[in-house]
Amino acid sequence: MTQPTRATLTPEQAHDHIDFLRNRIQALLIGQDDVVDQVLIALLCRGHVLLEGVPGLGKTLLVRALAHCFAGQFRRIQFTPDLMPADMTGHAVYHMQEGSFHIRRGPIFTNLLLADEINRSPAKTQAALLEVMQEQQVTIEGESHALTPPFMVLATQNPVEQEGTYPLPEAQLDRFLLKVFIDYPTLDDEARLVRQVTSGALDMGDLEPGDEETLQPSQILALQAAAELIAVDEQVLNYAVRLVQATRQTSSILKGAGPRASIGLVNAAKAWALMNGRDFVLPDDIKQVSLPVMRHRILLAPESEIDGLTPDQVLKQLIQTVDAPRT
Amino acid sequence: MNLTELQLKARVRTSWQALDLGVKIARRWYLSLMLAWLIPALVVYLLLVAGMYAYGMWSVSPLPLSLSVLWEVSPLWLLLIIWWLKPLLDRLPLFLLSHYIFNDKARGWLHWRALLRLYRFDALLSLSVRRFDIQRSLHLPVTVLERQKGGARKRRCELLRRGCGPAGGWLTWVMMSLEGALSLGLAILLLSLLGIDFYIQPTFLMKGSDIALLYLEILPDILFMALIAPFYIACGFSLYLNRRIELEAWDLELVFRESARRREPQSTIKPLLSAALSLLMLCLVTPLSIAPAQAQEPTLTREQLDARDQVRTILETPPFVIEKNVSHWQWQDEPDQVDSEDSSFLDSLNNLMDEDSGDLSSLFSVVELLLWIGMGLLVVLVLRKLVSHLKAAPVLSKPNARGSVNSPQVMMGMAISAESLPEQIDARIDEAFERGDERQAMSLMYRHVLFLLIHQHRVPVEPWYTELECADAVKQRSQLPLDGCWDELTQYWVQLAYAHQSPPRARVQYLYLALKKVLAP
Repeated sequence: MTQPTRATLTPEQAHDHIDFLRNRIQALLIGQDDVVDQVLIALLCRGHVLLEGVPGLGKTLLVRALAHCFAGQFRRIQFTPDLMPADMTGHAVYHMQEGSFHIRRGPIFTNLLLADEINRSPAKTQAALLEVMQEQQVTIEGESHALTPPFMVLATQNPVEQEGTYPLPEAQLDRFLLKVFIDYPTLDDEARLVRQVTSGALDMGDLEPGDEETLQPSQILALQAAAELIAVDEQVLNYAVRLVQATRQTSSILKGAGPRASIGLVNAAKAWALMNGRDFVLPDDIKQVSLPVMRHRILLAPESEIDGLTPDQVLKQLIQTVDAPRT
Repeated sequence: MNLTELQLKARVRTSWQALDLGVKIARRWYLSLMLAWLIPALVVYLLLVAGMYAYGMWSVSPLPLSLSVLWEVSPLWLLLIIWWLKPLLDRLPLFLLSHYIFNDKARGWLHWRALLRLYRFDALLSLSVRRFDIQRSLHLPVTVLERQKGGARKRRCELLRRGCGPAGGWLTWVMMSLEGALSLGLAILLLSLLGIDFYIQPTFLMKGSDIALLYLEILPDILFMALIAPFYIACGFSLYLNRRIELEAWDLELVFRESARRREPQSTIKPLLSAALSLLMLCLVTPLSIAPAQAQEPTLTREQLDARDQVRTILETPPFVIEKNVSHWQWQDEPDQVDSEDSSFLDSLNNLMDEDSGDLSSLFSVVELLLWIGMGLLVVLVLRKLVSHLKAAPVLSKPNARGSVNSPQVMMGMAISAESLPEQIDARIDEAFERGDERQAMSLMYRHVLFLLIHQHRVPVEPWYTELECADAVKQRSQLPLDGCWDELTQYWVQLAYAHQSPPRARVQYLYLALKKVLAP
């Protein structure tokens, strides 16, 4: 595949593109504005997202809507207990006539990959995603194959049905930049959703490829480059690192977040600042993204679990103990 | 009953220690005790089943119709009968246990006539009036081993109950609960293993084969009773022995016997020692006999006196002397021996009331009326206080809420207390701008406005708040007419602080002055 050329964007263009993405997705996924924002953050800083929510809240719709917004490829893999790594990555096939092996690429060679119900497959299959999520390349028969950027994995899992599932290992969880909870919409949002669907104003057919305006992969790459250019003051950076380090020093957390969390926190804050039309990062940006960045990277102490605390509750308490940066 | 062969250490224990000892005793001879209970129970069971079978074979029921229906509908009556016979079934294990405890190896009692006597003695009362005796295990040895009945048994039981009666009652409750837990546990285990729905079929709908199955189903319940019975009997017997050791000083007697045995080889002093022991026992048991003993003192030989001194020394040391600290309150005199003046006053008052009850009734009425008035006034006062408190609550809530704001002294690493700000702050801001130190100037402006908001206008903020969170907190206090000036100043401040972008001097000074005009007192 050819690498798309990376264009540079003016701040106005960047804001226009982000607004375009945000509005298109929000038009389809009603009442989940925060979720849409968090998925866009992950897209802007080349991260991957683990979506968690009960069935029927639009996890798959969200990914399809995102794929519909730009002219990239979208693939979906339904994770099942018998799914093998080669089913995702691809494998070498012997060509009888040519007398040589040919590489048959799996569905992982795409721009947007929906790993639906990722915890339905055993750890062996889940681990096949490690290399592609971190290195953005796939090794088949000892040969590395780079993926065409932009590449993003959106994995979904259901928090309710735990029977017959394989919890994601720590190494796999750490690869996800954000863990996003999709909750039920509010009364007004749900009423609006029902009204639009039942009146035909909102149709899933809208997601079929058409003549509508879409962003090119190069424009997504340009947005990612623009997010990288957002300025981070040294004190804000220190604040992010102190937040992550605090997770390793509190007794209510058994295993704190690693350095990948610090990197993710700053990157996500930069993307969030870009989405808010700023060219610099505020401590509030760090706070804003700290929960989705860190909630899946910590392991609660048994006492906290016995007390019925969730990672979000522990992290919120922890954030209050870390002073905002000194200016 | 040979005390010297007692298989346990004779000493006074607490009731709970005695119960623990009973469990140990039951474990020691568990199998034989359990079988001694189970075999007679199974015999009863088989006899009853055979009887019912024979009854079923009769074409014409010898029982009245109502009774025959009652009998036929549920073989669980079998279980009830065996449960009811427990006071009798407990006798053989107890009898056996007493032989084990006193190491009696004679087997003369093991005869069907003896067994029949054992079961027949006082059986009617045991199964009727005393069936629900909660301390049955404690009283059983009185019937079985002491063979007492009637008033003698009653007095004996009363004596035994003092001190260990509650433990005997708790023992019965605990063992009953254990039996129930075992039965219930087995039922739940079977249900969980078989994975079938729990369903109780009414017995009157059952066919013959189902009822036959029910006959077998009660066997586990009989087994559970047999499993628990040794513990119950042994614990009760242990309580009984403990009480007798306490009452009859078996421990002392055994010590004396042991002392006598040890001195047995010295045959020359044996008569003397035994005489001294007898003398001292007399002294111990009947204190009044000390005088005659002292009277005989001149006739004692030197060896007898030495022996007596030794025994006295032994008796003055533990375990014969038990010192106790009593920490509870106790009447030194009987309550009726109170001050004679009070007593005479009460007597005179009583006499007065008896004599002039007609005249005092009006006085009592007045006192009663006064008491009612006092009670009414108290209720009115309480209600008035309550109403005034409720009315004052909304008024008081505001100052409380204001007072509860624990205003931080440092925000975002900047000191915002009154002491940390310079005296002539406007002049310092201008100086900083003139110097080109925009950061210093903006910092002073931001800190001053923040100080006014937090400390003078009581905007509730927390120490971990960031600039935007402070701005949000100020927005919540909508009564402050800031017209967006604070938000704009915050924007300029964060741009300078985190993006190093210089703010327009004129604009920020305008914003600062506008804010100060609104906020400054």
